[in-house]
Amino acid sequence: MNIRILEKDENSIKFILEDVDVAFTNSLRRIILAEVPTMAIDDVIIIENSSPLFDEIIAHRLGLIPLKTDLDAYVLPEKCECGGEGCANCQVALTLEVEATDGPMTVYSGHLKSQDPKIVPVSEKIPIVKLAKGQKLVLEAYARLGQGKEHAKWQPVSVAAYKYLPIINLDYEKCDQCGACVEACPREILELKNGELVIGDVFNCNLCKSCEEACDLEAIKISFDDRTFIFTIEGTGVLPPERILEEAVKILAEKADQLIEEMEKVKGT
Amino acid sequence: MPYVCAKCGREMTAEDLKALPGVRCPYCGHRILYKARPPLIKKVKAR
Repeated sequence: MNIRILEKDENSIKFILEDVDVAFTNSLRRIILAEVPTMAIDDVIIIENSSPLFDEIIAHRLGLIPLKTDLDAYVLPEKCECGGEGCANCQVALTLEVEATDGPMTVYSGHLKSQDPKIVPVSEKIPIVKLAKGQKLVLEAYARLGQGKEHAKWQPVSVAAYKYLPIINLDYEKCDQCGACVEACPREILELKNGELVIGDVFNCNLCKSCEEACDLEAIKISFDDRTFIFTIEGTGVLPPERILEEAVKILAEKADQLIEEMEKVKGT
Repeated sequence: MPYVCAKCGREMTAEDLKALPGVRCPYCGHRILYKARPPLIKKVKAR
Protein backbone atom coordinates (compact mmCIF):
# COMPACT_ATOMS: atom_id res chain seq x y z
CA MET A 1 0.00 0.00 0.00
CA ASN A 2 1.31 3.40 -0.94
CA ILE A 3 0.13 7.00 -0.81
CA ARG A 4 1.29 9.84 -3.04
CA ILE A 5 -0.15 13.28 -2.43
CA LEU A 6 -1.11 15.09 -5.63
CA GLU A 7 -2.64 18.33 -4.38
CA LYS A 8 -3.09 19.70 -0.91
CA ASP A 9 -4.43 22.94 0.46
CA GLU A 10 -6.13 24.20 3.58
CA ASN A 11 -9.36 22.31 3.14
CA SER A 12 -8.75 19.57 0.60
CA ILE A 13 -6.35 16.81 -0.40
CA LYS A 14 -6.10 14.73 -3.53
CA PHE A 15 -3.87 11.68 -3.36
CA ILE A 16 -3.07 8.46 -5.15
CA LEU A 17 -3.67 5.28 -3.24
CA GLU A 18 -1.67 2.36 -4.66
CA ASP A 19 -1.86 -1.37 -4.18
CA VAL A 20 -5.17 -1.55 -2.36
CA ASP A 21 -8.42 -3.13 -3.42
CA VAL A 22 -11.60 -1.20 -4.07
CA ALA A 23 -13.25 -2.60 -0.92
CA PHE A 24 -10.63 -0.91 1.22
CA THR A 25 -10.88 2.38 -0.66
CA ASN A 26 -14.65 2.35 -0.45
CA SER A 27 -14.56 1.55 3.25
CA LEU A 28 -12.39 4.61 3.79
CA ARG A 29 -14.87 6.72 1.84
CA ARG A 30 -17.85 5.41 3.81
CA ILE A 31 -16.13 5.96 7.15
CA ILE A 32 -15.10 9.51 6.23
CA LEU A 33 -18.72 10.35 5.42
CA ALA A 34 -20.47 8.58 8.26
CA GLU A 35 -18.18 7.90 11.18
CA VAL A 36 -15.48 10.53 11.60
CA PRO A 37 -16.73 12.62 14.55
CA THR A 38 -17.31 16.35 14.20
CA MET A 39 -18.61 19.15 16.44
CA ALA A 40 -22.05 20.60 15.75
CA ILE A 41 -24.81 22.26 17.75
CA ASP A 42 -27.40 19.73 18.86
CA ASP A 43 -29.44 21.34 21.66
CA VAL A 44 -30.74 24.90 21.63
CA ILE A 45 -32.42 26.63 24.56
CA ILE A 46 -34.45 29.55 23.23
CA ILE A 47 -34.91 32.28 25.79
CA GLU A 48 -36.29 34.99 23.55
CA ASN A 49 -37.18 34.97 19.87
CA SER A 50 -39.16 37.76 18.26
CA SER A 51 -37.56 37.06 14.87
CA PRO A 52 -39.62 36.15 11.80
CA LEU A 53 -38.42 32.54 12.00
CA PHE A 54 -39.78 29.76 14.21
CA ASP A 55 -37.58 28.55 17.07
CA GLU A 56 -37.17 25.17 15.40
CA ILE A 57 -36.03 26.68 12.10
CA ILE A 58 -33.39 28.74 13.84
CA ALA A 59 -32.25 25.70 15.82
CA HIS A 60 -32.02 23.69 12.59
CA ARG A 61 -29.90 26.41 10.98
CA LEU A 62 -27.63 26.59 14.01
CA GLY A 63 -27.12 22.83 13.81
CA LEU A 64 -25.93 23.13 10.22
CA ILE A 65 -23.22 25.70 10.98
CA PRO A 66 -19.81 24.01 10.61
CA LEU A 67 -17.86 24.28 13.87
CA LYS A 68 -14.09 23.91 14.13
CA THR A 69 -13.51 20.62 15.91
CA ASP A 70 -10.96 19.52 18.53
CA LEU A 71 -11.00 15.73 18.56
CA ASP A 72 -8.35 15.49 21.27
CA ALA A 73 -10.23 17.53 23.88
CA TYR A 74 -13.69 16.03 23.53
CA VAL A 75 -15.34 12.62 23.30
CA LEU A 76 -18.50 11.29 21.75
CA PRO A 77 -21.32 11.63 24.32
CA GLU A 78 -21.99 7.87 24.19
CA LYS A 79 -18.45 7.25 25.37
CA CYS A 80 -18.32 10.01 27.96
CA GLU A 81 -17.99 9.34 31.69
CA CYS A 82 -21.04 11.46 32.39
CA GLY A 83 -23.14 9.05 30.42
CA GLY A 84 -23.95 11.58 27.76
CA GLU A 85 -25.80 14.00 30.04
CA GLY A 86 -23.49 16.81 29.12
CA CYS A 87 -20.30 17.67 30.96
CA ALA A 88 -17.25 19.71 30.08
CA ASN A 89 -15.81 16.68 28.31
CA CYS A 90 -18.52 16.12 25.76
CA GLN A 91 -20.25 19.46 25.40
CA VAL A 92 -19.52 23.09 24.46
CA ALA A 93 -21.90 25.98 25.12
CA LEU A 94 -22.33 28.77 22.60
CA THR A 95 -24.50 31.80 23.30
CA LEU A 96 -26.27 34.22 21.05
CA GLU A 97 -27.77 37.49 22.23
CA VAL A 98 -28.68 39.98 19.54
CA GLU A 99 -31.21 42.82 19.35
CA ALA A 100 -31.88 44.98 16.31
CA THR A 101 -31.83 48.26 18.22
CA ASP A 102 -30.96 50.65 15.39
CA GLY A 103 -32.86 49.19 12.51
CA PRO A 104 -32.94 46.01 10.43
CA MET A 105 -29.92 43.77 10.76
CA THR A 106 -28.75 40.25 9.99
CA VAL A 107 -27.67 37.83 12.70
CA TYR A 108 -24.51 36.02 11.58
CA SER A 109 -22.63 32.96 12.81
CA GLY A 110 -20.03 35.45 13.99
CA HIS A 111 -22.45 36.65 16.68
CA LEU A 112 -22.17 33.30 18.45
CA LYS A 113 -19.97 33.36 21.55
CA SER A 114 -18.31 30.10 22.48
CA GLN A 115 -17.09 28.92 25.90
CA ASP A 116 -14.20 27.22 24.15
CA PRO A 117 -12.31 29.55 21.81
CA LYS A 118 -11.24 26.54 19.78
CA ILE A 119 -14.80 25.44 19.03
CA VAL A 120 -16.10 28.27 16.87
CA PRO A 121 -17.88 28.50 13.53
CA VAL A 122 -15.61 27.91 10.55
CA SER A 123 -16.94 31.12 9.04
CA GLU A 124 -18.34 34.22 10.78
CA LYS A 125 -20.31 35.27 7.74
CA ILE A 126 -23.03 32.64 7.73
CA PRO A 127 -26.41 34.40 8.03
CA ILE A 128 -28.75 32.89 10.61
CA VAL A 129 -31.78 35.18 10.57
CA LYS A 130 -32.70 38.78 9.67
CA LEU A 131 -34.21 41.02 12.33
CA ALA A 132 -36.36 44.10 11.96
CA LYS A 133 -36.01 47.00 14.38
CA GLY A 134 -36.95 45.92 17.86
CA GLN A 135 -36.72 42.18 17.23
CA LYS A 136 -34.53 40.16 19.53
CA LEU A 137 -32.93 36.72 19.66
CA VAL A 138 -31.48 35.24 22.86
CA LEU A 139 -30.43 31.63 23.05
CA GLU A 140 -27.97 29.09 24.45
CA ALA A 141 -26.74 26.40 22.10
CA TYR A 142 -24.90 23.25 23.08
CA ALA A 143 -22.55 21.61 20.62
CA ARG A 144 -21.46 18.02 20.87
CA LEU A 145 -19.45 15.52 18.88
CA GLY A 146 -21.44 13.35 16.53
CA GLN A 147 -21.17 11.26 13.39
CA GLY A 148 -22.50 11.76 9.89
CA LYS A 149 -24.54 8.58 10.17
CA GLU A 150 -26.71 10.20 12.83
CA HIS A 151 -27.26 13.53 11.06
CA ALA A 152 -25.67 15.13 8.01
CA LYS A 153 -24.62 18.17 10.06
CA TRP A 154 -21.88 15.97 11.50
CA GLN A 155 -20.40 15.10 8.12
CA PRO A 156 -16.83 16.46 8.05
CA VAL A 157 -16.56 16.72 4.25
CA SER A 158 -18.35 18.16 1.26
CA VAL A 159 -16.55 15.67 -1.01
CA ALA A 160 -15.07 12.24 -0.35
CA ALA A 161 -14.70 10.46 -3.68
CA TYR A 162 -12.34 8.20 -5.58
CA LYS A 163 -11.85 6.90 -9.10
CA TYR A 164 -9.47 4.52 -10.78
CA LEU A 165 -6.19 5.96 -12.04
CA PRO A 166 -6.59 5.96 -15.85
CA ILE A 167 -3.95 4.42 -18.11
CA ILE A 168 -3.84 6.00 -21.56
CA ASN A 169 -1.91 3.82 -23.98
CA LEU A 170 -0.84 5.37 -27.28
CA ASP A 171 0.62 3.21 -30.01
CA TYR A 172 2.77 5.83 -31.80
CA GLU A 173 3.32 3.53 -34.76
CA LYS A 174 -0.36 3.05 -35.48
CA CYS A 175 -1.28 6.70 -34.89
CA ASP A 176 -1.65 8.85 -38.02
CA GLN A 177 -2.13 12.10 -36.08
CA CYS A 178 -5.61 12.62 -37.52
CA GLY A 179 -6.74 14.33 -34.32
CA ALA A 180 -10.10 12.53 -34.13
CA CYS A 181 -9.41 11.52 -30.54
CA VAL A 182 -8.42 15.09 -29.61
CA GLU A 183 -11.85 16.29 -30.78
CA ALA A 184 -13.66 13.46 -29.05
CA CYS A 185 -12.17 13.88 -25.59
CA PRO A 186 -14.71 15.66 -23.34
CA ARG A 187 -12.00 16.63 -20.88
CA GLU A 188 -9.60 17.99 -23.54
CA ILE A 189 -6.75 15.82 -22.32
CA LEU A 190 -5.27 15.11 -25.75
CA GLU A 191 -3.48 17.65 -27.90
CA LEU A 192 -1.82 17.69 -31.30
CA LYS A 193 1.48 19.52 -30.88
CA ASN A 194 3.89 19.84 -33.79
CA GLY A 195 2.20 17.00 -35.63
CA GLU A 196 2.48 14.68 -32.64
CA LEU A 197 -0.18 13.48 -30.26
CA VAL A 198 0.53 14.64 -26.72
CA ILE A 199 -1.21 13.22 -23.66
CA GLY A 200 -1.94 15.97 -21.13
CA ASP A 201 -3.39 15.57 -17.66
CA VAL A 202 -4.05 11.85 -17.26
CA PHE A 203 -5.56 12.46 -13.83
CA ASN A 204 -8.43 14.33 -15.44
CA CYS A 205 -9.48 11.42 -17.65
CA ASN A 206 -12.94 10.08 -16.79
CA LEU A 207 -12.46 6.75 -18.58
CA CYS A 208 -15.23 7.47 -21.07
CA LYS A 209 -13.22 5.94 -23.97
CA SER A 210 -14.58 8.47 -26.46
CA CYS A 211 -11.06 8.73 -27.84
CA GLU A 212 -10.89 4.96 -28.36
CA GLU A 213 -14.19 5.03 -30.23
CA ALA A 214 -13.10 7.96 -32.36
CA CYS A 215 -9.92 6.24 -33.51
CA ASP A 216 -10.29 4.02 -36.60
CA LEU A 217 -6.77 2.64 -36.27
CA GLU A 218 -6.96 1.33 -32.70
CA ALA A 219 -3.95 3.47 -31.85
CA ILE A 220 -5.25 4.62 -28.46
CA LYS A 221 -6.39 2.35 -25.64
CA ILE A 222 -7.84 3.33 -22.28
CA SER A 223 -7.55 1.04 -19.31
CA PHE A 224 -7.04 1.19 -15.56
CA ASP A 225 -5.45 -0.78 -12.79
CA ASP A 226 -8.12 -1.93 -10.37
CA ARG A 227 -5.78 -1.49 -7.44
CA THR A 228 -4.79 2.15 -7.94
CA PHE A 229 -7.05 5.08 -7.05
CA ILE A 230 -7.20 8.87 -7.11
CA PHE A 231 -8.91 9.89 -3.86
CA THR A 232 -10.22 13.41 -3.19
CA ILE A 233 -11.22 14.73 0.21
CA GLU A 234 -12.68 18.21 0.47
CA GLY A 235 -13.40 19.17 4.06
CA THR A 236 -15.80 21.84 5.33
CA GLY A 237 -13.12 23.42 7.47
CA VAL A 238 -14.12 21.63 10.68
CA LEU A 239 -11.03 19.45 10.59
CA PRO A 240 -7.84 19.51 8.49
CA PRO A 241 -8.29 17.05 5.61
CA GLU A 242 -5.26 14.98 6.64
CA ARG A 243 -6.78 14.58 10.10
CA ILE A 244 -10.05 13.41 8.57
CA LEU A 245 -8.19 10.68 6.70
CA GLU A 246 -6.17 9.78 9.79
CA GLU A 247 -9.28 9.34 11.92
CA ALA A 248 -11.02 7.33 9.23
CA VAL A 249 -8.07 4.96 9.09
CA LYS A 250 -8.08 4.61 12.88
CA ILE A 251 -11.78 3.79 12.86
CA LEU A 252 -11.32 1.22 10.10
CA ALA A 253 -8.55 -0.44 12.11
CA GLU A 254 -10.80 -0.53 15.18
CA LYS A 255 -13.55 -2.18 13.19
CA ALA A 256 -11.14 -4.79 11.88
CA ASP A 257 -9.99 -5.53 15.45
CA GLN A 258 -13.60 -5.85 16.58
CA LEU A 259 -14.26 -8.34 13.81
CA ILE A 260 -11.29 -10.48 14.83
CA GLU A 261 -12.46 -10.36 18.44
CA GLU A 262 -15.94 -11.51 17.53
CA MET A 263 -14.59 -14.27 15.33
CA GLU A 264 -12.40 -15.54 18.16
CA LYS A 265 -15.53 -15.80 20.30
CA VAL A 266 -17.28 -17.86 17.65
CA LYS A 267 -14.28 -20.13 17.20
CA GLY A 268 -14.73 -21.40 20.74
CA THR A 269 -18.21 -22.81 20.11
CA MET B 1 -48.79 39.73 29.55
CA PRO B 2 -50.87 37.58 27.20
CA TYR B 3 -52.57 40.07 24.86
CA VAL B 4 -51.46 43.06 22.79
CA CYS B 5 -53.72 45.53 20.97
CA ALA B 6 -53.07 45.77 17.22
CA LYS B 7 -53.67 49.55 17.16
CA CYS B 8 -52.45 51.16 20.36
CA GLY B 9 -49.96 48.40 21.27
CA ARG B 10 -51.05 48.33 24.94
CA GLU B 11 -50.67 45.04 26.79
CA MET B 12 -53.46 43.45 28.80
CA THR B 13 -54.28 40.19 30.57
CA ALA B 14 -57.17 37.82 29.99
CA GLU B 15 -58.81 39.34 33.06
CA ASP B 16 -58.60 42.93 31.70
CA LEU B 17 -60.42 41.78 28.58
CA LYS B 18 -63.50 40.68 30.49
CA ALA B 19 -64.25 44.35 31.23
CA LEU B 20 -66.08 44.85 27.92
CA PRO B 21 -68.45 42.36 26.24
CA GLY B 22 -66.95 40.86 23.07
CA VAL B 23 -63.36 41.20 21.94
CA ARG B 24 -62.30 44.83 22.40
CA CYS B 25 -59.20 46.66 23.54
CA PRO B 26 -60.17 48.25 26.90
CA TYR B 27 -57.98 51.30 26.07
CA CYS B 28 -58.84 52.19 22.48
CA GLY B 29 -61.76 49.91 21.61
CA HIS B 30 -59.99 48.33 18.63
CA ARG B 31 -61.21 44.81 17.97
CA ILE B 32 -58.07 43.07 16.80
CA LEU B 33 -55.79 41.69 19.50
CA TYR B 34 -52.61 39.61 19.26
CA LYS B 35 -51.80 36.88 21.72
CA ALA B 36 -48.29 37.52 22.94
CA ARG B 37 -45.67 34.78 23.12
CA PRO B 38 -45.50 33.41 26.68
CA PRO B 39 -42.18 34.00 28.48
CA LEU B 40 -41.32 30.32 28.73
CA ILE B 41 -37.99 28.77 27.80
CA LYS B 42 -37.96 26.21 25.03
CA LYS B 43 -35.44 23.45 24.49
CA VAL B 44 -35.17 22.44 20.85
CA LYS B 45 -33.14 19.78 19.07
CA ALA B 46 -31.09 21.24 16.23
CA ARG B 47 -32.21 18.65 13.69
